[in-house]
Amino acid sequence: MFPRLHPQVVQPLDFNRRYITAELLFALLPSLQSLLHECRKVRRYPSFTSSSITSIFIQQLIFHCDCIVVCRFTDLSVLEKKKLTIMGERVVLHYFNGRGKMESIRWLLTVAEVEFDEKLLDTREEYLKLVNDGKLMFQQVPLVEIDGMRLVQTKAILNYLAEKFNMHGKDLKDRVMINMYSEGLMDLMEMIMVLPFNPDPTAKLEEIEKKAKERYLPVYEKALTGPVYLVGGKLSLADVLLVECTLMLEEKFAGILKEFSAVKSFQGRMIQISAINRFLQPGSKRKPPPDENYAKAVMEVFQIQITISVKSVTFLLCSLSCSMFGISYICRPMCR
Amino acid sequence: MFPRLHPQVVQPLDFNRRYITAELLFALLPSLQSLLHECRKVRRYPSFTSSSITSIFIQQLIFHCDCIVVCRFTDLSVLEKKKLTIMGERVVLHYFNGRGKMESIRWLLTVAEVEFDEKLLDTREEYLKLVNDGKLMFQQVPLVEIDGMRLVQTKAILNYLAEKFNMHGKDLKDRVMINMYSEGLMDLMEMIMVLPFNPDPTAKLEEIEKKAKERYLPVYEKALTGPVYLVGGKLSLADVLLVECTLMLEEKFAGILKEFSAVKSFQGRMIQIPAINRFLQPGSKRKPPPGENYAKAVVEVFQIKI
Repeated sequence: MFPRLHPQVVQPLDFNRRYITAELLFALLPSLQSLLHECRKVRRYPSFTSSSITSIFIQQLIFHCDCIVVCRFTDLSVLEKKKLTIMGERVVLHYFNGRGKMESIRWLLTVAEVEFDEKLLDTREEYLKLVNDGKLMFQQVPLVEIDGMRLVQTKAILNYLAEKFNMHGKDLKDRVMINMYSEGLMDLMEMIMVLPFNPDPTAKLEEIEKKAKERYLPVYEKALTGPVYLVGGKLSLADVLLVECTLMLEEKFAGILKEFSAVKSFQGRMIQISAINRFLQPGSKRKPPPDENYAKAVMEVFQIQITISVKSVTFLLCSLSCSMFGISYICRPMCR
Repeated sequence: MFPRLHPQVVQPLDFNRRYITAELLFALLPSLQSLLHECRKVRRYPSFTSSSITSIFIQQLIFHCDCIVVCRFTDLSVLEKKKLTIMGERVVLHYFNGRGKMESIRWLLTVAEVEFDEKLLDTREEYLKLVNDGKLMFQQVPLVEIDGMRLVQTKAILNYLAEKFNMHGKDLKDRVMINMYSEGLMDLMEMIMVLPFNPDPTAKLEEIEKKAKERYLPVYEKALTGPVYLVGGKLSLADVLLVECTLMLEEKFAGILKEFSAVKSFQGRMIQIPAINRFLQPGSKRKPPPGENYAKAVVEVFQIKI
């Protein structure tokens, strides 16, 4: 139905990025279809000196894929020039030099094999600059710049990326299962995430271990007894979060997966994936477990005062941990 | 392409439920398409005494719409019987007799004009029964029984319902905008939601008012200066949550929307919608603001020590 490409004409700009074939490209772009249709009527391919058509065309291309496939059109030079400038836009993450809420996003981008840059916030001034530039919708990080948009709110970002990279299930039923599993994992990881801000973490650690073993891990053990992935027989957002979560748990509680063999073998399988394997080597973009310096840096940037009364209420609320209550922790107002 | 229905054959079971025409139904059900295709080959419509075909067919129908359109098939009696039993399955919500995290879900179902039943947890035994029956994935409520599934996790439920009722944006870009707005509103509402459990709420109230006026409301004021809805020019999950949130804010801080005229007129427009209007009348399923009894009930059911 569409002209077949000469293989040499396909020029992915960057080896690690996704590229699409011309057929798929044409299927994705109705405007291009109608454009081509018009051209075929007069047996002439479009020349891309018309800047308006080109820019709309390029915009849609950029949105749908990371790389432009150059087709058999007459005027390649304009397309090449535009390709080079626009493809300069990479995914940029703005966050602290630590895990926090951004770590799940880093995991997801890694598994999707999308390269990203990071702007790490070390001082309050850098944070205020972001706020004053109007880049943060609710004055909160994480912030992810992608596809010409500035996305905030961790869960909105994760859903966007998962859907963009086909890790969000094939239909509504799969999607709701993925979301249920993901939300449970994010609840559990959040409990671990706030520990550095708790002056007395020992009791909390016991509670997290208990909840992990009684409430959360059994669910995933059951789901993975048989299936290779959590939902729909293919890799999804929920699987990525489960790997991240189990590794975080093992950092705190060494033998916690002993009674959960299906989860353990799932973890083993996932670690074999080359992108994940590379992420776990030293020198990757993976951030280390949070320590006191991290806690200090965060509190300084956000100018948080931890007083006794706020602590006790907030962390008691943490201990309630049923979805009735928000898990309010010190950083909650600032980090989403 | 498909046989036209006689209007009389369309029998919605319940006036308030959504129904679909036969054409749309056939478009939604590939299995039915292939089934019909096979039948047309041999010039014979399927008889529904075959229970396996019927049950798969009915399952898919139930999933996609609230009401079955009866078509020109030979054996109607089986279909009618099955329709009556399966349509008996309504949406059921399990939660406390209070707002909490379930209130957003109640709002969304109301705006979508879907009727629902509620099983309210008053005692710890009722909660433990749910746990022991294995109905709660993470031993947590809210729990929503819908389409033969038991859904937990408020955000997963809201996303599911929003997508099912076409309130989740037309494409990925709209969807991420809706999600960003929704997450912000849920953060703000959560701060208000936990107040009854805070022994010293005064300082927190001031903080909430400050955040609402400086961080959250300006965003929605800007988004609604011009457009009628928050995203994509049509009603979405984010609009529903914004109505809920502004009403909650006004219960605590009477004049808070004074400087936010676009949000105030948005609220005024949304209240005109008949389903929302009915929801705001006394006697509806809307729950009152949490009082002390509510906090006590929750603490007792979950055996929390504060």
